[in-house]
This record gives sequence, C-alpha cells and structure tokens, in this order.
Amino acid sequence: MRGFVKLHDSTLRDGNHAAGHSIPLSYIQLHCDFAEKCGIHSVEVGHGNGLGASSLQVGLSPYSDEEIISTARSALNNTKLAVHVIPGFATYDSDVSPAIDYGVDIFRVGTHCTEASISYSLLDKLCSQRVEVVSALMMSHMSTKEELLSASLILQDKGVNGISIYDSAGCLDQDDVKDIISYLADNLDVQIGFHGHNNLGLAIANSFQSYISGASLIDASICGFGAGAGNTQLETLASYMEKKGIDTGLDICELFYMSDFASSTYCSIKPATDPITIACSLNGLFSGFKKHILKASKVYDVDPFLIIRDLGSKKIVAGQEDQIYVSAKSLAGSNEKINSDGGKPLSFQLINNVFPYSQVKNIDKVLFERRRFYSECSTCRDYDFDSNLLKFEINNISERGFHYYDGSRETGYGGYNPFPEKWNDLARLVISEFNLGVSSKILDIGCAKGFFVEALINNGIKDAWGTDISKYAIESASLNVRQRLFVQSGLRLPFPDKYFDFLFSLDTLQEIPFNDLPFFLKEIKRVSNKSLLLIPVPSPSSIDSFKSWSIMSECSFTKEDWLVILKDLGYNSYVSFTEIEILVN
Amino acid sequence: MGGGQTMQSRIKAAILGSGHISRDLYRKIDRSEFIDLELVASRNLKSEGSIEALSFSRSVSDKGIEDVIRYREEIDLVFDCTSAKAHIDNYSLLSANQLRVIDLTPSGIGIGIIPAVNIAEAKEHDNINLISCGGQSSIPILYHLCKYLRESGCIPDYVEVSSAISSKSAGMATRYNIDNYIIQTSNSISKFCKVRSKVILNINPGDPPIKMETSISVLFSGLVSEHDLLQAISKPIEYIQRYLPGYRLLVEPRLLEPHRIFCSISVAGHGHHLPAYAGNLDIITSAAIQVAHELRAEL
Repeated sequence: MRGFVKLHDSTLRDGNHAAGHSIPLSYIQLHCDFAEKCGIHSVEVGHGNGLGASSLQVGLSPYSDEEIISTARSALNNTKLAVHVIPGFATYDSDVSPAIDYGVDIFRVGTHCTEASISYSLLDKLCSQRVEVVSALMMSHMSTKEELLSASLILQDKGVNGISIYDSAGCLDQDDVKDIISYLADNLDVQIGFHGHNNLGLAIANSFQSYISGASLIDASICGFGAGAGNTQLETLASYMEKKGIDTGLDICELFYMSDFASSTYCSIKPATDPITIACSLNGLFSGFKKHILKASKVYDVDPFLIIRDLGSKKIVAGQEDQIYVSAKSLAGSNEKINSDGGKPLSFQLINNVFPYSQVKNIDKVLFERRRFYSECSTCRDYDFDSNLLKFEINNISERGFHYYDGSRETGYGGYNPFPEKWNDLARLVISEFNLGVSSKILDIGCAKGFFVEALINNGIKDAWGTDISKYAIESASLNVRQRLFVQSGLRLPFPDKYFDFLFSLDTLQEIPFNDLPFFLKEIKRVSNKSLLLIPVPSPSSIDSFKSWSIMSECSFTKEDWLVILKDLGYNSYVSFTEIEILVN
Repeated sequence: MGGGQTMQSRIKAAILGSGHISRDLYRKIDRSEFIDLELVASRNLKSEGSIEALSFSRSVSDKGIEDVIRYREEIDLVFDCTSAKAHIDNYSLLSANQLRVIDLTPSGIGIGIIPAVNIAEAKEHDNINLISCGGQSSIPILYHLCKYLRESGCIPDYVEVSSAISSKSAGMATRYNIDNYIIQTSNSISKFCKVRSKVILNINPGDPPIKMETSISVLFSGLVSEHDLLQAISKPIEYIQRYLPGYRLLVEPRLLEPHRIFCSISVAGHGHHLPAYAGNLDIITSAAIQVAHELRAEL
C-alpha cells in the first residue's frame, strides 16, 4: 500500500537530547520559518522527553514549555505544531491542558511500547479536545508485532488519530519494519507512523521501508539531529523519496537551505554512529542515554560498555536515566584501569622554565620562575599498585592520607616534608611580584599540610588561608597554621564573591578531574580578584612517563594544551608552568 | 475513641476495599501482635480479595463503608484502601462517627504521615494519609537532607524524585491515577521539605520484575561533604529498616555536580501478598502498620 506521506519534523524535540534541551528560542523561530517555506507537514518542539520533562533526571531546559510552544506557534501557519507527552513526566492538568491553550495542533503521547495503559486516562481527556492525537509506542523492538497490534487496537478505540512505532534504540532493520508496519496497516484503521533512529545506519532505509509497507506518518530530523546516533535525516529521506517518484510535498531546495542553516547553528555537532550508540542499539537501549552513560562512566570510573551491558540486561527504558548512575555505582571497582605491569623504575629531574608574557596571548600574564623541592626525594617509583589501601586512596581523592603523603615513594610523595627555606623563597617571590601587603587576603587551594600558608605568614602576611580536600594533610599541618586551614573541596568554596585579593593553586590543577575543571576554575574566579595557577607539565621527552610521576594526575597536558583549555574555560589571571623531565633509569 | 475503652492492648481494625493493598494488609495485620482484623468491607463478596479475607478477618462484608459505620462499636481503626475519590466520602462518614482512619489512597486530604519524620503527629489526627509509595520512600531521605543542608548554612533550592516500579506491580488503578500520584507526591514533598519539587514515575517491563527504585536529586547552594550527607540520612534509613528490612540505600549521597546531590534507594517488600519486587506496595502497607502501632497507646 502506497499513498500520501506526511513528513513530521522532530528536529527541535528529539534534537534537544543532543543539544542539552537548550536549543535557543531564536533558532526555534527560524527553524519554524524554514519549515513553513519547505512545506513540512508538522514540526515537533520541546524538551527531548516532551512536556514537563525538564528535570535533573533527563536534563534541565532553560526555557519553559510555554516559551518554546509560543515561539513556534507564532512562526507556523500551514505547518502544524506538535509536542511530545510522556505520562509519568507530564500531567494533564499542569502540562497538557496549558499546551492546548498555547495552540498545539498535534499531541504525540509516548509510552514504553508494553505500557500504553498508563496513557489511558490522559487519552480519555485529550481525545475529546479539538487536537490531533498520535500514540507513540516507544522502544518498539521490545514487543512482538502481535503485542503492538493489541496495544494499538485499544488506543484506536480510545480515539487516537494515529499510532507511531518508535525505534528508539535504532535496532530494527528493514525486515522487522516491513513485518511490523504491514501487519499494523492491515489491521488498523488509523494512520500508522514510523520514527527511526540511526544507530545501525539504517534509519533512511527503515523509514523508506515503513512507507512502502503502509506508514503515512514518517518522522525525520534535519541533519539527522537527535539523541545519540541521531534520527532519520529529513533532507536525505525527502530527496530519496522524490527520486523514487513519491510526492513529499516538500521544496527540496528550501530544505537544503534549512539544512545549511541548521548545521551552522544548533546542529553544529553532527550526530554520528559511534561505538557507544551502536552498543546501545545492540543492547536495546534508548540512544539518548549516551551522554548520561559517559558521565556516569566518568563519575564512577567504569567502562561505559560494562554499563551498557548491565542496563541492557535490566531492560532499562527511556526515562530511567537515574538507573545509569545506579548501574555505574554497582559496577564501580569491577574493572581495573591501572595496569600493574611491573614497570620500569623512574627518576626525574626538574627544569625550571619561564614563559614570557608574549607567548601567552589570552591569559593576562605568565610569569616567573618556580622552584621545585622534589629533588630531595631520591627514591624512585615503579608501577606497583598492589596495595588495596593505596588504590582506595587513589580512587577516593578526599581520602588521600598517609600513603599518599607520607608512605613510600611507590605510593605517593614518599614523605611530604617541609622545606621551609624553599617555601619562604616562593612566598617572598610572590609577595614582591604581586605587591601583596600585610592585610592582603590570600587563599591557597590544595594547600596540603599548609607549608605555603605558613611561609606567607612567616613573611608578614596576616590574612592567609588554605583549603585542601585531604583531612589527613590538614591534620598533619603544624599547629601554627592549623586554624587557618580547612578541609574543603575546591569545587565549592565557602567564601563570598571576590573575597580574596589573591588566590594560589600550586601543583593542584593537574589533579582535578577533567570534568570538574570548569567548576574549579569558576570557583577560583568567583572568590578571588587575582589568582595564580602553577601547573607541572611534562617536558617533550617525558609526556609518556609523566602520568607515573604524578600519581594522581587526572590531567596530564602539555603547556600548550593547558593554555587552550584555560582560555576556553574563561580563566583570565596568572598562570605558570613547571616543566618536568622524567629519566628512566 | 471507638469501643469506649480508654486503654487496650489490641486494636480492632477494619479494612475498606479488597484489592492488592488490602490483601497485603490482611497478612501484615495477621502477623501483628497488636491488631485484630474485625471486618473487611468491600463491594463484592466474590472478588479474590473478599474470598481470601474469610481466612483473615472475623467478618467480611460487601456493604463497604455502611457496614463499617454499622459496626463502629466493634472498631477502633479503619484502613481505607479504596480510591482517592471514595476516601473523601468515606472520611466524612467516619469522622461523623468518631472513627479514626489511616488512608492508603492518594487522596491528599488528611494529615500526611511519614513514620521516619513525623509519626508522633499521627495521634492528634483522625484522618491519617500515607501520601504514596514514592512519598514514603523519598521523603524520609529528602526531609533529613534538607534539614541537614539548612543546618549547615546551605539552601536547598529544588528536589526531584524519580521512581521506577515494575510493570507487574502497577495495577490498573495505579495507571489510571498516575497524574494523581505525581501531583500528590510532589505537593507532599514540598510541604515536608519546604522546597520546589518534581516527581517522575517510570514503569519498567523488565522480567524478572525490578524492585521499586527511587532516585533523589537535590539542588542546593552552599557546600557540604558527601560523608556528612550520608550521616544525615543514616538514622531515618535505619528507622525504616526496622519495619521494612528491604529498604536499602543503593547509591549513597554523591555530588554528581558541585551543587547537586544524588542518591538512590531500592525497596524490596516482605513478599507477604505480592512478591518482594513490589516494594511500592509494602512501603505503604508497612507504614500503615507502623502508624497503627504508634496509635495503640492512644486508642
């Protein structure tokens, strides 16, 4: 059966998964203008999970449903305006009913394919309104065609205008689509739709197959913009259908302009099939989980593929994003990231390096010579991570204790001892370089045992403070400064804005987890007027072995990398680098 | 109240309704040392729940609330397991007849009681509402997190509760009332924690069925340590575990982002009526028994 086709543009809704649910209103308006010109049947807008779904669970949207819908409404005339609704996220009274008032034409009511009954009470209310209602059976691969039909027959009786099969995990192929869609088309009176995802690169083929098999309502996105691997690409599908002599009613030329516009603005990051999205598909998981999987993998230090396998075995459905973190937590510690390969003993020497101001274009100023004190540590470290306690300390930054500071050189500093003359030198240097006075308010983030704070005080600064995440380090500080130090993560400093005249972060930045860097720098910027970051970097010959020198290094970048990163993150005060050369014995 | 005795060692109870919640209550009351089941009053003597009631209750009726009122002299406490709508009418009759009721529907009228937070208040009210399964599982944690945050000079700005229950444990009533569940739970959270809230419910079709799981997020301003957060919620968790051992912290409080606390709980039931995965049933029936025991001295 081949008849008319309505192409439904889900860019601004499903694409919002990829855009962090924050496609700007101005782009929504321009996109809708384009959609009108192209003659697109309907445009779906809103948060990736639909009305009322702006949440920590899935992602917060900076715009209210009302703002998004009204923006699109004002730009659309012939093209219909659609939204997505998932019962359990949205309620009729607080989300759906207002959306009717804002002028929505089509409601896509989505449920997991086996759980359509949670939409019955919503449909009872919605189908009596003067709007078009299409039931979306999401994650359709988790049902048989017979189950899909029996769910659809009830929905048809409830009065919906159409039923759409969502391949949310992108794991159907043309044979599956043909089987399901033709079976539904033979047995239902309402329009049949298909919503394809591209995890296996089959979205276009599947969508075309759905049309051949009797679907008349086909979802697609400009540039394929969508969750995870992306959706059926609208301009490709429309072009291919036209080539096959099917009238899509679209102005293909305008569609290309629309595509150009989109790819240069809100879909600048093109969706792609990558190992994560392919693995999601093979495990039957919603493509939109990708971002959360990567984040959970980072937070709990677990291989993302282990998470995907675990979630797949639990049949996690779209909307259960929290379970990704639960799964990562349960898997944490099950995979060893650190190889104990018996490695080579290393020793190191330091090269003091000064970068002239001119080399650092976008950062205020880079300065001065840094003296390091490690040369007294003569023992070498090898890769021996047998100690479980050490592993615990390494993996739990706030638990860094004896092993890290005062254990053997194999497990940390090998004795983090005071070298007062060195610290005093450094203190005198910064006092003169930055014109610090007796009453300057100064903070040292990552102060460890407070040696630098002590040196500042010994050199006449009254108002010097220190914070460190390690309780052990602070408890080991000398009594002279203990009351000026406290245990605190640098991600949240308990001080008012611009409280400190000067802030130091010595040898700390490379130990901040990369994902936390923006927050760390933001806090530095917030609480201080000026700041200095001292960052150790590997010399060109030591890039590979640097990680073993700095046992806790989360970020082992070269100085060039650091400058780019700092600039990107908007840091605009002082920075200095110490180049470290590591010699293999 | 009812029975005319001021102090008695056992409570004489009636149950309204004969659905899953009622059937689980039969078994819990049967195990209780302090409660006798005098009457199960539903609308249909042929329902599975009514037939089963014959072996748990002294009498079984199909006259619903009318029979509860008729036998009010024999009854100290009523468990209402009907529906939110029916409870509103039931309550006006019960209250006119000086009968105290524990309401297991999401009606939202009556005082909301969370045993780990405000069980002492139950004594002062004759209509005690148990909110919802999501409320019973999340509010103890949220209340103590928010309290701790405020005591440490932080400000909780927003809380979010996302629960997943197994498809098998979600009956048609739950499905039809999903909006009610969301609105009542959210209102109660905001009332207990004095903060804006959002509630999400997912139904998971996995087989074998998943246990009820509830994830909690709190956005706040200020700073806290994860360790202190864990301490702040360990007491309420221990409290709940005393009457529902399957209530378990799955992910201890974690700062997923600098100003976002995340933690997760799983709730397994006793497996009295429905299997253990239906923690969503047990968390509310177990709370009902807990409250009834609390009221015992009063009755």
